[in-house]
Amino acid sequence: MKRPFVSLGVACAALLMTSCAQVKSPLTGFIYTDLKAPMAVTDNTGSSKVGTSEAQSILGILATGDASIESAAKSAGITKIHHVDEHVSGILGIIAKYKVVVYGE
Amino acid sequence: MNNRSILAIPTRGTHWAFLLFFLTFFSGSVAVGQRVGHLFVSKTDTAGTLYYIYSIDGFKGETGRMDFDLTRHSTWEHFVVRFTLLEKERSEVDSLRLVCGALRATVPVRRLFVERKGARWKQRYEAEVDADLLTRWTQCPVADGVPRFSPVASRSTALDFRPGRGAWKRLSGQLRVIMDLIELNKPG
Repeated sequence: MKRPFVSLGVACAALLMTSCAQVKSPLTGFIYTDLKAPMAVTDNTGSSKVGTSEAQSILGILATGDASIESAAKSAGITKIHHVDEHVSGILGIIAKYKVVVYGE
Repeated sequence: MNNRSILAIPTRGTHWAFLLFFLTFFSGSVAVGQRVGHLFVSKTDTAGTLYYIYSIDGFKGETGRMDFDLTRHSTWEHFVVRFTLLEKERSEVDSLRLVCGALRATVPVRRLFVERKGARWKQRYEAEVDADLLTRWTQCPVADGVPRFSPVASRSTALDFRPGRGAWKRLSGQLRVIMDLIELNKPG
């Protein structure tokens, strides 16, 4: 008699897990996400330097990192930002990564 | 008529179906040697294409942790290597030595910034490394020992960072694909 309740519990847990490690993204991929998208453009010219910053989430429980534009620009010594992209990746809601990619001089 | 609840515990057949699904899904991850799209980004401009290989970690040393990333424009004859050191004690690094078997190259570095990260020092440096030399270093065969990424502190010996052999075999294969791609897109 208990079996249906156990299965229901497992199903509910699985359903709740589906939205665990989600990350801001223009498109949603439940099983697998790996996409790049635009974030910002400026009037500055030249983009011979690239810098990144990153944050990650595990099961939607732990989220750490510094995915700021400032941090990405600093990592490559960029003082004039040309444009900014984002790179989002995730697998099965278990782990999700959010990268900010800054181009500039 | 089958009165069995659809919420009942899955049968052994269902288990095999799930296992088959996950094996099929993750088999793509096993063949990482050829899947490199997630490791770099590129941007085309009027002169050519700028490539940026995301931060590479997995190199371990006795003094702390290190990661590095690579930038190259298709018109450049060099890579810009930017690396981060995370150490308990701050080292004044003034050059970078890349070692693989008989291959040894030392280039000067420029410090980008120093900051505190918890109880550790986070230092960021950049260096320009000849493209051919760096490509040879990234293709260092495991038979020659894994390559050494060695920032050299001015008042002490080199800080050695080495990857694990298994990790290096995979990474080396991936870097080869990206480096070949860059060479193929060089302006004629």
